[in-house]
Amino acid sequence: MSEGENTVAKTETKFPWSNYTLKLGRGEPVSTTQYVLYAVQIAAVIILSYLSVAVIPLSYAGISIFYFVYPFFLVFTMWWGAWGMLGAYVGCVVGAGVLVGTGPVPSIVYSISDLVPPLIAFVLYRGLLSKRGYDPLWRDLTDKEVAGVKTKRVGAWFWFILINGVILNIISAEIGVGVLYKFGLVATNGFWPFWIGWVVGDFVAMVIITPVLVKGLTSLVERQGLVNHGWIT
Amino acid sequence: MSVLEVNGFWWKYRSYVGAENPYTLKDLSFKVNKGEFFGIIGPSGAGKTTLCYALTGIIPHVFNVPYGKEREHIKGEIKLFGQTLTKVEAVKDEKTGKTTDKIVGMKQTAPRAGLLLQDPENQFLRMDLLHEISFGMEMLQLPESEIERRAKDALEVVGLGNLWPIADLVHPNDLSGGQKQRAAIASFIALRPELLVLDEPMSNLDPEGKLSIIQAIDRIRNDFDITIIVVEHNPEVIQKYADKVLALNNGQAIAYGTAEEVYSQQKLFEENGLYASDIARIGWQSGLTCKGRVPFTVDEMVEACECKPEPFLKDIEDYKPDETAEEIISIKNLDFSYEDGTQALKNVNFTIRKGEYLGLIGQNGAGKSTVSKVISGLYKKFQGEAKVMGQNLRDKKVIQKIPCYVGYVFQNPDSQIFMRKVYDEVAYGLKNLKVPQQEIDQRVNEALKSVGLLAKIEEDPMFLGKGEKRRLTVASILAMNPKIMIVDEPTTGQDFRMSEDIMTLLEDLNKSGTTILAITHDMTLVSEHTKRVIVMHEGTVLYDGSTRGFFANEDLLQKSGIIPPLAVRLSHAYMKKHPSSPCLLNAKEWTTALEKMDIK
Amino acid sequence: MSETDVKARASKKYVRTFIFSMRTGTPIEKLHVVTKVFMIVVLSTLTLYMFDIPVSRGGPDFIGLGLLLVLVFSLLAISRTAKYLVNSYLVLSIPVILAQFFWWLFFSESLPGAKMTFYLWPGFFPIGVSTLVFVGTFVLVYFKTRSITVSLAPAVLLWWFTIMPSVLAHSSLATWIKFPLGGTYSFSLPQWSAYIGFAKALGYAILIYTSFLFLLTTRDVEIGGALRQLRVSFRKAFFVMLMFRNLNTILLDYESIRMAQIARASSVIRSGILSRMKDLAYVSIPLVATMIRRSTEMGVALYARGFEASKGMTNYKETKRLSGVDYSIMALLIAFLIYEVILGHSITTLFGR
Repeated sequence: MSEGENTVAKTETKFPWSNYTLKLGRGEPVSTTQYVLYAVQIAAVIILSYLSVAVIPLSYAGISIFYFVYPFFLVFTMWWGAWGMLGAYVGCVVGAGVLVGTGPVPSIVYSISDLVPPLIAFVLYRGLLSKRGYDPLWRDLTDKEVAGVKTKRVGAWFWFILINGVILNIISAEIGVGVLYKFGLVATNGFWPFWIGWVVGDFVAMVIITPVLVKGLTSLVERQGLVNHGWIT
Repeated sequence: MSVLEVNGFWWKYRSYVGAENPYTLKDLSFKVNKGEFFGIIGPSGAGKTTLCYALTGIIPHVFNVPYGKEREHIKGEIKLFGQTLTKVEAVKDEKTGKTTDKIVGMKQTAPRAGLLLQDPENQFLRMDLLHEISFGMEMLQLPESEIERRAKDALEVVGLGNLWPIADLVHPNDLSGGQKQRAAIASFIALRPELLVLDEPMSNLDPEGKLSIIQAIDRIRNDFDITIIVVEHNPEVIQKYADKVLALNNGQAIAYGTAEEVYSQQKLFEENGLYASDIARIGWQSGLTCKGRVPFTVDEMVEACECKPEPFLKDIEDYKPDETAEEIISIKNLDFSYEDGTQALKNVNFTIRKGEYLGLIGQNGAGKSTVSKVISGLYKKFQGEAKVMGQNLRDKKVIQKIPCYVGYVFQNPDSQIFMRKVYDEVAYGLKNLKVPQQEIDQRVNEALKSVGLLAKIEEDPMFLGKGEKRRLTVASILAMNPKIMIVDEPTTGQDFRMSEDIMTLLEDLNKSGTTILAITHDMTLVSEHTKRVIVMHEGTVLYDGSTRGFFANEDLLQKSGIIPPLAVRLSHAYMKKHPSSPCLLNAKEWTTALEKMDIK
Repeated sequence: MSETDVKARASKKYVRTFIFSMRTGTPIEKLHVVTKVFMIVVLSTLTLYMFDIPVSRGGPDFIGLGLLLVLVFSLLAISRTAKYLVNSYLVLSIPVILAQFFWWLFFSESLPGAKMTFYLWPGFFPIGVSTLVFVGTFVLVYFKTRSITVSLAPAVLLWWFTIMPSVLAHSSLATWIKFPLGGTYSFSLPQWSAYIGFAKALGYAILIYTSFLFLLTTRDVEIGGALRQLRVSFRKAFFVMLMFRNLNTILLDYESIRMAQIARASSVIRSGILSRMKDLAYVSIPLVATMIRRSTEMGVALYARGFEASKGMTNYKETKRLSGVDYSIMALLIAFLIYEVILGHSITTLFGR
């Protein structure tokens, strides 16, 4: 068990990640360190969103073929719940929107495309998959075992790619490119090239970057007690 | 009257995953009286910062304790201003009648106590100077007129009074590290605290910054009746100001008394790796005394030297560069400006030969890091000529390959550690260079051996100690076999033993042929190890020559704002009495010279 | 304030804003941030409307767009921030605006006034031959050249040739610009696309420079003050301020981590996108470690200042009042918006185009 403070016995404590649920929080108010951390991570996602979009050549209207911030806010959401989702949204509005000149009104609407994947992934993993033996922190993508419990790596990759790489990716591309198209920023026959660029770019970034993030950082964050037990804390 | 009373205090940090942590503070007991200047010294990892947190309520309110395990984590008691600050007591719940352990005491120490941390960047919480100073007062809900008056006074006290008219327009990026620290001090002063705890306030600052903090502390002492607790490595500061000193190691008190009592104990310093002043070291080595104990100040030492039979020191040979060695770095008419237009380097010229070990010194913003980054190919858009190993840095292909020849060790180890295993960390650069696996193994082992970290090869670099992290960053660059190594602030924030380790390591590297460029504010490092020094001032080279020539020249020292190490100041004072004496640079030279004085 | 104070204040010519700095004492500096936000929202809404007016109602409002662009540039000049833009983003923004023109030139609507609908499941398989041609060409050329820019050019060109037939088939368009290629073949572009392209480029330029105007002339503190005036709770408002406070710090951290990576030879051997992505992934490790350390220290500093027990904050020079100028500007903008969008007039038609 990774949490040493349980005074109330939990009924289904089968997995090391059973503490990470869809409850509101861990029953304590947001600590000062957490308060600052959540603000800092939103700032980090803003900067990374900006760098994903502005620095890469031939990115345009907030779409980048190299949108490397995608795995970052996905992983941050897995750790920090609603705060990660807020970071994903604000990061897109400010970093991939206002800071690169897409204007506030389209940015506010199109950034929903960045809010949807982390939100749904968080709910699916913590609500459904974690009970079936899949780690909501995605450690089973790279490790053979987590805190002594054997992981189902093949299954984990299957769900990871299906949910995040295919389904949520496509939904976010539809919303993102579609909104920009409706606002008249993306040309008519340009819809599909951008859509494909979006989906492929996010997919590749996710597959390459997520394992490195998870393997390199989850233990650090967990060791300091900074993984959220629920949506808020 | 005692402001702070610590009785048998123990503290253990909470562990979220894995094994329990050991106790960081063990059975500490001491008192701090009203108006005292209390110094805390100790090597890295001794628990000094933890103690500061405990004295201001950060422990246990920011670093909290798991419910039900209070007695495991906290033992003993801390009393602040006569009231309990932290203590575990059995409290009876009136509704249920159950008795449970609870942490009792003050929930918040502000505004009566203030805490200043080491990193100036992380303490500046607002976006402009005026509101930074007024932040605490605004949260106390003081009236506007009172806030304005106190803010203005506070800025005056810390020497930032000239910024008052524009305080609401000054952004944190406009301020230097020293100014940010002083702003933090001002923000606490404005709250009229009774106790101020400062945790290594000067470690991250340049010489100008350090001096300004000392002046600010001095003024506060004179103007206000505040109790001050300072954690500091620099013995000069402690010896000058402290009424009482507490020495910590491994969470335990190893010495407690007046500055004189503590600083006379040679064994204490040598066994625990504490910083002793140059003067004390000279005194211990040579056996000179003043007032029955080892001399503390320059004047005392000069007086003690008068008892020597031969009243003046012999000539010492000055350093001459080896003209036969090849030129490895050549900079001519170098200009560099940042994106926003500020010019960082103006007409910089110098040449460095193979095998040299030189110091690059100057105030922050003088251009030291900038010119080093041009040499390492990290800054590409410069005007003028820059050649490394005969190759022109204007050529994009050359810049791309530069990391193979020039190794740059950055100041902050936290921003250079990319892997979660020491082996992988050192191998990272080699993997980027596509070095074959067998050779990687061999080079990693060699590099780790030379920095003394071979035993930690499987460990997680994130959880190494400060000194070990620093050595790891050096090893990571070392494994790439650079011909030139640029080290940025190798000894800043390190305790005595770690500094010595790094300095010895760099010297060994230099002896085996690596050219070393050390960017540093640590004048002891410069005077003990470098023979040549380049002094940068406002983007230009103020002085390029022997270290001795620089430290002997009081005008240059004044112009560059560099404060020479104690041993050099001792030399200056001695030279005033005996004008034909040479300028000795460090404790070792002094000790040798004093021995020679005995012989004749 | 004393005379020396007044002089000292006058000597501080520039104050830092979100990006670079702006000159103090200019009319823009005196505006309230709410007015600036209003300006950027209204201007961008107007732009989005103006460049999308269908031909049945007169086509894009070129003169209106031109006026807005002139307005934005004048504001940049008044605030004396234009020089920062010229030194940095201007160069980068021009290719982006040109790219907007070319995308619309080649890929705009085949019929003026016709709008494409979403291709949603079930019913329509969205990937057509032309899309496959685009992707296939891009991938093949990329593997040969390892450069995105070089791969995009032939992909775009081939894509164009595959959709040309369908465009020609619907050619009830009045005029075509023809570039003869020899014999009976010619490379044709509908003139309409050029108009659309120009309008979109103009509009995009306005959007970009309005955003920059906002970022160049707004200080982070103003946002905090505005939130306070909007009666946002003290802890929520401070959360937003903490975000802004850390933006610059994190950018600096990111840059120093990238430099440390370069010092470890990450760019010595040139390799493709995949390894560049991996480099970025590795940046995350020191970045998140630094983030956590900063959060802990800032949390301690906040606590030491008395944040935890505090119940509210005095308003000490935190807010700025809305002045007459602010209200007039907002009223003017609303009027313009109503005229153009709600009433549907277009400035170009005013000039009888």
